[in-house]
Amino acid sequence: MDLLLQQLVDGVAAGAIYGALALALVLVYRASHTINFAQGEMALLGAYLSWQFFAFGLPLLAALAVSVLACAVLGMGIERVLIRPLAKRNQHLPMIITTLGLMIALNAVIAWVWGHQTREVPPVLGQGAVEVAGAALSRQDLVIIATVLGGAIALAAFFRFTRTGLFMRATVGDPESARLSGVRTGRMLSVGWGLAGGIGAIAGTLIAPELFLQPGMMAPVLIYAFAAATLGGLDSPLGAIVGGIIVGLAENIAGTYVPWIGSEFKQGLALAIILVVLLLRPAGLFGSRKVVRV
Amino acid sequence: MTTQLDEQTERADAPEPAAPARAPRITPVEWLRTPRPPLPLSKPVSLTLGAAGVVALAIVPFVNPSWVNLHVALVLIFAIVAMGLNLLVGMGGQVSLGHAAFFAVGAYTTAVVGAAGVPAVATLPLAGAVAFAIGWLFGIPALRLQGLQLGLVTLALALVTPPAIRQLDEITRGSRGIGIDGDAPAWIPLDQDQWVTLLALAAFVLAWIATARFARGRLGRSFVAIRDAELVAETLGVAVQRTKVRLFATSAAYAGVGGGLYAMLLEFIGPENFGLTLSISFITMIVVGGIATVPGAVLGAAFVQAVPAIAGEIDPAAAGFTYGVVLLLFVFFVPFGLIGVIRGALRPLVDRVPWLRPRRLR
Amino acid sequence: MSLLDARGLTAGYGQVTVLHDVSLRIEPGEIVVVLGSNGAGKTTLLRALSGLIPARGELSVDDVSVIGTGTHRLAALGMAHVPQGRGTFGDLTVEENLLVGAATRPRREARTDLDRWYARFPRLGERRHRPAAGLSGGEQQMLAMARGFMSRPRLVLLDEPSLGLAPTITTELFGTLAELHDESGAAMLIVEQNAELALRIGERALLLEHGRIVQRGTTDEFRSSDDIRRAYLGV
Ligand SMILES: Nc1ncnc2c1ncn2[C@@H]1O[C@H](COP(=O)(O)OP(=O)(O)O)[C@@H](O)[C@H]1O
Ligand SMILES: [Mg+2]
Repeated sequence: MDLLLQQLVDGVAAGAIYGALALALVLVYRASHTINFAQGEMALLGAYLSWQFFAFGLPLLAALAVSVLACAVLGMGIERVLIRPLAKRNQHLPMIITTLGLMIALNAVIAWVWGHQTREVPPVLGQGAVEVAGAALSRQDLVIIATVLGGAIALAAFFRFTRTGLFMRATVGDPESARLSGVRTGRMLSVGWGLAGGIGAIAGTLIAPELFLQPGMMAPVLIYAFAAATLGGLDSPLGAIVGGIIVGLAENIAGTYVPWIGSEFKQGLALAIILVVLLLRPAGLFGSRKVVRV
Repeated sequence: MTTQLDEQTERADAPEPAAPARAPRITPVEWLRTPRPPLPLSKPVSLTLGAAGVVALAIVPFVNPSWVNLHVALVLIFAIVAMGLNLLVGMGGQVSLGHAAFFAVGAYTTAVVGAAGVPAVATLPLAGAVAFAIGWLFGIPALRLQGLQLGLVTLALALVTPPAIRQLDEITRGSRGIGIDGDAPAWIPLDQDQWVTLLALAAFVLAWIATARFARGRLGRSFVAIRDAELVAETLGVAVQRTKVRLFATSAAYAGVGGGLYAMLLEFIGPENFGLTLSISFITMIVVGGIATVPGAVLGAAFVQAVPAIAGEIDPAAAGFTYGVVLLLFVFFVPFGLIGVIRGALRPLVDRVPWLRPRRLR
Repeated sequence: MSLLDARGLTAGYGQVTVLHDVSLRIEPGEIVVVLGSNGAGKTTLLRALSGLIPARGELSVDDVSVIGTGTHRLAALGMAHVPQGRGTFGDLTVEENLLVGAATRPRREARTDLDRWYARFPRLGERRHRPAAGLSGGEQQMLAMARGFMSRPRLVLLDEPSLGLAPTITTELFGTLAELHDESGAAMLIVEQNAELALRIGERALLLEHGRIVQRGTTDEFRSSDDIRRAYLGV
């Protein structure tokens, strides 16, 4: 029982990170109708930048802020320079190849700059665990869950209550009508990518203390994030978070209780989730039907 | 999914423009972005060129040190994979970012069956067959998806491949890796590198012939019909789903044979041989080479062989960086690959030398 | 000074030219009606005027050239475009649709305008927090028009506002349009299949065929022209 509870707690913490990265994928999907395969590497870059500025002597939160800003600017730049010209062509393959190219180039740059030895990013509230009904929850896990939930609520409020948020939703719904109404739709797409970049940086920095920061860190996380985004529905921000937590729980529980899955093959579970969801319910749990025919 | 990369798919029966159209002045970037039909070479000329290439390659293993043979063999092996991917992307309009998985299936088939005492060369057809079967099984669900979703699923497949190899360690020996005896049978007086290079050449030629027959055959026509208009194809009686799965499995089989040869060449493989980088280098091949031609496949394969070797001298990370940047540059500036550039460059020559062209175009 | 002045406008899609050398002027406050059969290029004309598709030729607003200017800038200059098919944001609520319409206006102004529109269209007020996708066709058209007027435009382009509406609702719609015109003083360019009603509220009219303007005149001239009567007024 305690073991199960422990798995549940761990699953939610891991799932929160998958959900955050999935949220970044969803924001990009809503803006440009593509999957940013480089999203994991952008999160990795965020983690390294946080580490770097921390190592320069900035307080951790300040370092994180710089990193978030840098990754947001990078995301906006990528949208403006690479994605928008391709979006006009209305084809998937060039976009897929472009973000794939970014993924591998970015990873290489990171390995080049920071090398392959692991770096230590400190946990936000220090080491140590808190006891929750018999399960141990590390302080970092608490920070992760609180940040992701808080961030998700803040983002929902942004979309719901601010003008920019409203214009972004309008742009997703009908770009042409939005433009006719005077919305600067191009800028809204950039903001979507910028938000995704920033959220990725937060996810990367928060998970780094638990996974060891090295260039291969985000590849496994990315596949869970794919599964989370697919499960939630590729264009639903709420779905991304819910999907992330479900995937995190499934991963932890299956890894512990289904012997042949073990620790290595848990990623196979992510692939299975992606396939099953796309086949049985392509719009995911919360996605709109528009996603189905892409 | 219709892609701009499709447009240059060879259509054997497409009418050739009779006279070179004098295009107005264009910028170099526009020139690079121009789609071009295949060069109108006459059959004897293209056959001679192909045969000369094959003969030259057959001589290579006997005059070179073994490290050169290693590279030549790798180019041939990768070219086989690229031909398979060309079938899928060029003819089928489908994308796979996960062919490293089928390459791994082929490699491990050769390794495991070879370890049981079967001569390695005899395992190659089996490597293709097992990859075909697994490609078929994976294709049944996956091929109901298309475009972006298929890209996502196959990329996930690529990401899952190394952990899957580690997980199945009773068969694959997991992270410890597995050895393969790639030597020639005792009665053939060839070194291992010569032997595998020649085998790879033979497989390459077979794959070439198979691809050509495929493209002209009924199956090939159904593929093209599906790519161009799935609904229409369906009303014409093409079993769309089954045909797509068959194409995917066939393409996986090419990768499987390539993987088997790869295992024989390296003589030792482990999960890290089949990571995401491999899948990306496969995609790079067809983006750089250009889709749906054999020379394009060879060019692409040569490119991904040369880049890590050259860039790796600077820094191991330089190779990945080069791949990434090259992918971006080609998508934006050379969407039809090197083969498009070569066609553009050689076209004036072919236009000026009448005997290169088939009689009806002279 | 003309509000909008287009000279030799040529536009199309990709390699295909649809609109050939079209010139038209709209003075402040007037209503111009565009007639033409299906596929004549009416929608294309409107899309070219609001910069949704690239066009060659000259286009100016208040005698300032705006050719090649982004659509959102034209909106800020006082041009509203209610597209064919209405272009409502189905996932957004009625109120949010209206607020998007006020994208070029200060926030405070948008709020006060909302109440005015709810007073004019009580149906929209009742449904202000419902997704627009759930509205009936007539309500959607009301919403689309209100959204267009939320920017307090000086020129409104309306593309077949009566499309898909029942005849009684269409009559009501043109009544509303006439009222809105009187109240706001905005000029209108109305593309309409229902020539009878449109010609009644308009002052000038154009006839588009195969992407060219083949006839222009006052709406009275149009209504008395035999050709027009036969082709568009069903007489
Ligand atoms: N997106 C498009 N791409 C290509 N051709 C189009 C497009 N939209 C319209 N057309 C063509 O342009 C012509 C004029 O269309 P349109 O302006 O919609 O006519 P109208 O609004 O008068 O019915 C038609 O022949 C139509 O086929
Ligand atoms: Mg129209």
